[in-house]
Amino acid sequence: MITDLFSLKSKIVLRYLIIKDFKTLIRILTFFFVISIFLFGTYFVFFKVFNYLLNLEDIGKGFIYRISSLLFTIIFFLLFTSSIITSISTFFKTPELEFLFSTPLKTHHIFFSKLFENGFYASWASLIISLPLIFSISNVFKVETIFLIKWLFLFILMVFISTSFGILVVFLISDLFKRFSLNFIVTLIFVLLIFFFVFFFIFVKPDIFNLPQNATLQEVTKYLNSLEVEQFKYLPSGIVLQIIFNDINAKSSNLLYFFLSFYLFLTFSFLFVLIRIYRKKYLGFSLFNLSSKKERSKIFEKRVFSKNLEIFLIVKDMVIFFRDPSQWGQSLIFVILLFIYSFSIIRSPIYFKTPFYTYILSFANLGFSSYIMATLSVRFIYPLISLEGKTFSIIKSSIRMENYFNSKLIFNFLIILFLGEFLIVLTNIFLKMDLLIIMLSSLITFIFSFGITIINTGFGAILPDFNETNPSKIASGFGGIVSAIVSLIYIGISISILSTPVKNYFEKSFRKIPFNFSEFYYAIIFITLLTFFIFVIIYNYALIRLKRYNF
Amino acid sequence: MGKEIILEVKNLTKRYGKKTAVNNISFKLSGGDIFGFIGPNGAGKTTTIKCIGGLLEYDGGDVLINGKSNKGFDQALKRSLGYVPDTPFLYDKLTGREFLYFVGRLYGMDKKSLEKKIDEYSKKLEFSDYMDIRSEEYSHGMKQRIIIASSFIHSPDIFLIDEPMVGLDPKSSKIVKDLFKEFSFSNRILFISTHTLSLAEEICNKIGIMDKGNLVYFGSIDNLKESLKKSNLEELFLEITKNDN
Repeated sequence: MITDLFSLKSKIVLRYLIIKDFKTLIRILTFFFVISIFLFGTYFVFFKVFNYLLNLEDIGKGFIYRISSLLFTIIFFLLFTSSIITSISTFFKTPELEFLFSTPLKTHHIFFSKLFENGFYASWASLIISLPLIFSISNVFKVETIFLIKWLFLFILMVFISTSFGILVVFLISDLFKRFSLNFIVTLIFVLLIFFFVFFFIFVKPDIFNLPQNATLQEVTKYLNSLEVEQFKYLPSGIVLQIIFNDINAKSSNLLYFFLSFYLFLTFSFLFVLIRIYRKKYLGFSLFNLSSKKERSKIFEKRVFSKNLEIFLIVKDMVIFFRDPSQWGQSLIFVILLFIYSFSIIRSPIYFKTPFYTYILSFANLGFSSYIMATLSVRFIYPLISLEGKTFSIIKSSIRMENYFNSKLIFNFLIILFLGEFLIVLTNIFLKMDLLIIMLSSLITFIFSFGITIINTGFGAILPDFNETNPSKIASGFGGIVSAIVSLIYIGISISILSTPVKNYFEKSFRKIPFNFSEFYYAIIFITLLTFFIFVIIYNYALIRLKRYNF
Repeated sequence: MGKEIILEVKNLTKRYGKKTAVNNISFKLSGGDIFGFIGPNGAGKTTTIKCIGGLLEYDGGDVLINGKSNKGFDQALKRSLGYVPDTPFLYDKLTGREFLYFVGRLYGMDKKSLEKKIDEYSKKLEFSDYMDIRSEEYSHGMKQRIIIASSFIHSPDIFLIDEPMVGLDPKSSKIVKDLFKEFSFSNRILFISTHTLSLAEEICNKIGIMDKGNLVYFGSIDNLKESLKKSNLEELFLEITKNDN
């Protein structure tokens, strides 16, 4: 029976790849295009960076190890946390489970099928970073193919262990759902995560890349030696990475294999226990779906009778957003990551604090922040119109589409602008950039925020999915992918336009030659015109589409 | 005549936190019974069906299927049940035929009898023309017909059907109703939770009325009509649940 279940799942996955019509063809091609760009782009960046570092005597290899170590640790935590998030749904909430449990399938058949599914859903995004990293390490150090195959196998073991630990956490906390609301539990998890990061960054103070400018020779030697010491050597990610670098350095890894085997033994042991208790846990878990808690939103009730219907619609969106833990939970992940990012820049090492590097860092920061704004917009702004669902017809009959679209646009713009400006201004102040650069970055962020908002709000109206209720699924659907690509192309073109004056400015300031700022102004005018052009086309087309929808 | 089939619910109690969804209910059905389980929204009907189907743990009492408790829920017990949930679940990317093949395989049916049953029910429920289309393109009524067929093909002893008429057009309703009527001649139990009182009145020989987690009536419709001096089930239902909000 387990084979029937797996063959069914494979058939379902393959069905997604069957081209039925032009729209499916575009969707599949777009999907492969985006994934390929990410894979090759990431491989190219890692390969170039590692190759460059390898040529730096004494310090290069240590840096490669340190970067890989950081990435492996991040990947481990990403796998672990995404497994927690996906396994709540995969093991307990999906409607498929009720069907499967009503059939004569044995519990362990259902469990294995879900274990496989959860591993796939939790790890595919991390694989986009991990695979190019492993391939670039193997190519930079020119190891034999057999080592690459072995490393990939070890990596899969790491994925298996980390996602299984995520499942274990969900099983351990599943009883909490009987007593507390989902809101409470998600809040609790985030508070614990925040405590962990605060503890890690403030008290542990990882001195990664941190070398004082006036260090003595002894301090430099100590620093170089410390680079290759694994900070997370007892985590599965640390063990796998140490084995990889032991292979490169032709060292023995017997003890590390022992630790890895221990982890595997531990994982199989608790999975064995989880199989035994799965049915009972699943049957008990459905309790949290039923909550008789009474709720009244004062702001909602106050706004419902106000003359301004547009503001009421925004209030409605906000009330729904804050009542859905998957929505605010994911946005909180972004906020925490943004804080970590800002904190990393603030704590950026003295080693990099020469004016030349800070300018480069500032420009890279602008590009990265724009990328974050685009990602946030695809996830949270694009689905907003789709989430109206069938009630869109009621909205359409009560409000002019121009007013409806404008209200969404303005509100979304203000949110994205606030986040973008917060990130850019704060980090630039900490980087001690001059006032002109801060103001220019702020102006560019203003234009980018508007461009990204019109793209995502517009495509939300042009390519909505009124049948889907899950915002994550809406964002990862066809319209979301198109919206993401257009946003990234827009950011890419704008950054390319800016890169020439920025490069000239860096070079001239490095050589202390006067710089003509009109280059910047022309670039900004170009970007403004591009944004205006996008606005006119998308805005008008979005309104035409909104007026055409009929249910 | 084959073996006698008995479903016995003894002092079943189910709580969600402080709220008691099903409060100490008991009843017994035997082969040939078509049982209509009616009650207002939130009365505890779906919870009861899920407890009987082994899809929900209960806090007190027991559910006996042919004298055997469903608490451990072995495979033989599962094979004796056919379950249709209130919200039909189908794999979007599979066709109706593929889904029925899959269900048949899970219930251990051989190819020949499975194909025969699929053919029989596709004709009875009139979905032959849609069998090879992916279910993502089905209407609600079509999905419901496929799900009902999936619970019938392995010929279970007890059918648990939750709200079979919700969202069905008149034609689909009639098709489903006709299929249920055929059961009055079989030695099996058809357990239907429904809001469609006319359906219960037309095809059921026994009814149970749930109100706020309590089974306020269990027996035949005729006995109830006689005792309350009402002429139809709608009036009876409103009379019994008149204190409900």
